Amino acid sequence: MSLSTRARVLQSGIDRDCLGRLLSSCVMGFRGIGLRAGMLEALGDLHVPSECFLADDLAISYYLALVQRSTVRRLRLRTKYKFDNEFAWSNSSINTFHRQRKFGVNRACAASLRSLMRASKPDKQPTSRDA
Amino acid sequence: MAPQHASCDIAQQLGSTPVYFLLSSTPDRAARLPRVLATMRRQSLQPAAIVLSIASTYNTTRFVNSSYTIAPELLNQRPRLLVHTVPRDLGPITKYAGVNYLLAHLQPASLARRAIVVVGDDDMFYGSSFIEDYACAVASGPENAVYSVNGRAASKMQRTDGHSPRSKLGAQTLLR
Repeated sequence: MSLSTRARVLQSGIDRDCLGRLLSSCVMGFRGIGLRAGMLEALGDLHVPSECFLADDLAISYYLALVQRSTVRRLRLRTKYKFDNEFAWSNSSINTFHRQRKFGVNRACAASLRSLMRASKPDKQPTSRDA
Repeated sequence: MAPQHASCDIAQQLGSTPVYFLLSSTPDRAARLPRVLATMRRQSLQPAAIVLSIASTYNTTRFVNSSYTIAPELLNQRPRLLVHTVPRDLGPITKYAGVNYLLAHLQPASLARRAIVVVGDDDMFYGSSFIEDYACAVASGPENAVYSVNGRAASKMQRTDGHSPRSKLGAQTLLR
């Protein structure tokens, strides 16, 4: 599997405004992400800007957009989750880190990814509407 | 597209396809690992193994300890805990590195690529159907599908399904 900027993300249902519509969908990992292992085999080739070091959801969404023909689908779980309050809101939490910085980390990462994508954007970025 | 309910004959759908739970953690959160394992033991479908990806060394300006310590007894439990060490801390995206371990060790390669991975965080008590729901969806969906509960549309989805909506998800809260 190779990475290509000619991304084709079909049936996006999660976040069509992700990265200012440059990505047609985003995933958010705290309640899980499920996929085939083979979908991630090119992850080692991904260049992630340093601004995205703590913005894993954005980085993986960017990767999935680069993987040819990946399809993001929403899933509804049958049982509920709970945060472990001892850890989820502690100083060791990435969420806490983001909140303390008013989510500026994600904005910086998004800006950086946006620049990357614009720099390598083909004539027309296919969207789910093209499917 | 409406959110998909996970409902299938899991044994029939999976066949010989293994399911793995991937996560990463940091030295300051090593004490939570037993709770992760307990959560996985309570699953209606237990993963074949839990792949914990950790860095060989951590930046001590961010963490009190430079290494992640695992109590030996945790390595002898079910589901099995596989520890995948990466040379440097990649941040929270380290959890996805567990795939490299699977692709390198699972044989045949076609089985490794077909394996289902469920990626999660280290600070959650996941519900008992967590692994089965994801496995069911991935196993019965197209090969290139990625399933996720959350995103900006998730709040709409919860309202549609009659659950209490979480706080209104804006662009800022979308990404953790």
